[in-house]
Amino acid sequence: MPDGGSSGAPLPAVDIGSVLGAAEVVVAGTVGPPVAIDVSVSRLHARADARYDEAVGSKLAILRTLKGDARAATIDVATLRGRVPGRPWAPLRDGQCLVLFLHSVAPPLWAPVMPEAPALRTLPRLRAPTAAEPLRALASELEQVVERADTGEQAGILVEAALARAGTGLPVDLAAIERPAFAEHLRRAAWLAIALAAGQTEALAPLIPLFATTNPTIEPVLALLVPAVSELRDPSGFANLLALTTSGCEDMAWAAAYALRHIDHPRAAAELVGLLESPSQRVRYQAVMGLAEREPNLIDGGPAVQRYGEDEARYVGPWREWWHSRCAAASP
Amino acid sequence: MQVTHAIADPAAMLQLQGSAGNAAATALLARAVGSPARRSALRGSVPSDTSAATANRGVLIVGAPLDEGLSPESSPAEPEVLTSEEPTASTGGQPTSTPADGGAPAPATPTNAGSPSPATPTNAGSPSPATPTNAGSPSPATPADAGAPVPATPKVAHVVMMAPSGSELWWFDGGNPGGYPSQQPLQATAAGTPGTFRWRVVRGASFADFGGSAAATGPTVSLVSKAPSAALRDVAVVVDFTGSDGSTGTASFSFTVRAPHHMTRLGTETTNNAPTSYSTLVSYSIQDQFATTLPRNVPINEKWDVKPPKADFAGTNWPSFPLLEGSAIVNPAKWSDEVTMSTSTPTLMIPPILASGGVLVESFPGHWQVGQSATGAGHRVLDVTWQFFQDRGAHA
Repeated sequence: MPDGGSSGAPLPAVDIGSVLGAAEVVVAGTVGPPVAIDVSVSRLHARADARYDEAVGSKLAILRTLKGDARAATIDVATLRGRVPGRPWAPLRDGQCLVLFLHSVAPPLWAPVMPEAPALRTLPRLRAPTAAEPLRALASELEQVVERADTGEQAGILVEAALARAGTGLPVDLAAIERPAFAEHLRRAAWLAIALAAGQTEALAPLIPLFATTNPTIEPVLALLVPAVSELRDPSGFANLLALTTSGCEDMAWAAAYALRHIDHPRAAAELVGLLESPSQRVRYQAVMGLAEREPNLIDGGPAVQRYGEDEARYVGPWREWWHSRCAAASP
Repeated sequence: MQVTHAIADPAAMLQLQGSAGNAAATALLARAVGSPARRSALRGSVPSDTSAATANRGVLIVGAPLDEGLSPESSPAEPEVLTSEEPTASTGGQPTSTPADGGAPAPATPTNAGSPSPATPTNAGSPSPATPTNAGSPSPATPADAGAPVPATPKVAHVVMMAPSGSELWWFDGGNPGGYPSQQPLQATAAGTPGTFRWRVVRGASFADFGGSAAATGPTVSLVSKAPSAALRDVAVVVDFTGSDGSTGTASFSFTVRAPHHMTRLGTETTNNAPTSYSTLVSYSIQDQFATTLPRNVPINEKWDVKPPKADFAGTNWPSFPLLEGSAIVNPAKWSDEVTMSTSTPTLMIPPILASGGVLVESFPGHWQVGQSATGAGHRVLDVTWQFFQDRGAHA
């Protein structure tokens, strides 16, 4: 009978900076064989229950110490595992390479700061981090994963490292995308996603050719890119965002339109009116709402999604008319 | 006679507007549309805030004489008059609005029923701007009036409405997550003049009211969400003031009740460690009914509607019952559901976990609710079927 397995469990919001701050030791290492441990599950997580969960020990071979003092080449780490299916813990597995954020539970035993979140998988034999400051060191470690991970078999690892790297909020060196490794679209897109998450609006321009058409190779990083683009609020990105609204990838077109809806720019109203002609209804809706939020005096001009979908013409038409009358009024 | 003076914090996504059906207010709204300064200021007022600080910002709703702030020359950096109601003696201090509707937001100017209506500045019958030059002074009597009581010109009260805790209103179907206010205190003053404040929800009372009633009295009331708005600013609140000195005034204000409405799939990522395990992350963002991503972290929970899972692969011995439904506080801009399968004895798995390919082994339907951590609580926003394939998990 299989002893593991779980179903869907939402992962909590992870603030890398906070997790890093809460950790006494941050290490990159490789998980070794299990070891016997004696620790109460309640010390590992408040929701753990001895009836359903057990503590599992693992010996971790340290590749790199990013914060604190691990005091040895290997350390014993305690994680949780459900005795029955459906428990939310993600136990360590032999052979995994990880970045672990640890705190002491019963020296010399360490436990992950966030046992319900999956550990960050990394690659072995990484170059030593060049910066001493913990967050910068972590960022450097993760950047190397993004640059070196196999985009085929290890695409998941690449994306996970990119996500964590984006969580640091630190800017990346955008010039790096000129290096040969970034000729691969997935890696390039992941790098740009990190940059955009850090507010580097200049990363929009190299993104445009990547999304000129539907590009399945970069689909794994869409979950990082789409929110990063949609949350941009820098007016200097206005023109490039406008270009992205014509992307063959509708998710990207939507993200760009969403950002335009919320950006303060002198041409915003005019361009939003132009987006009313987009082939994507999701883009057109963002245009309608952007206009409604700027010009609240068009009565009933900002419908909820459901109402809009039921009778789109009822809402788009008046905005076109409004714009035409504005233009007419402005003409001498 | 009534005069409304209105100033709103442009960063707080509020709009002031006249009472529904008030032609004078409509005319002034049209003036605001044509004002470049007005447009400029409103660009900063879109509901894009992602900080709790904005949610807690107090809002001053009233304050300047009518013609201040509507001028195109006004600075966007200064408080701005958004709209105002003209003094109209015929209303006797009472707005000409209709009572709260039965659910659907009504256009303020029903000239184009069923369609959004640009306010036009040509409203026939719009009262002329009246700046009471003799407010508070008795009118000189004419010979014809000799011997008769001389009606005094009604005094104008400068009514100030405030939302000291901000203007956001949310509805989570009974949930009350931190940072998402489901009610807002509203305050009114009349420059210290003693009197009575009467509040009414004149439009959108099916979306918010004063705790069960569309009317309330007193200087402070609480506007409570009841259901998601159907359109932006479809809850209109009016406060009328009657001073003990006979002065009158009114102010109006519009709100939007936001609610989580749907989730947008952002992507799926699988890490496969066959034959012992796989982990699939299915990522989403969470939007309100206006397709705006929720502004701050929010609790969500999953509810499985069928237990145990359906065995799609005959003879499987994969785990047959989910024990614990999950919940978490997530970032609504991007959160992930983890669908995993693992075993320490892979040779016993029927069928085995594969590196790629294979068939669907088991599945079960369920849904996601937003606003509370307790299983089955909060507003239902997404139905999914959890699927466990041999090489990956999925949401269908």
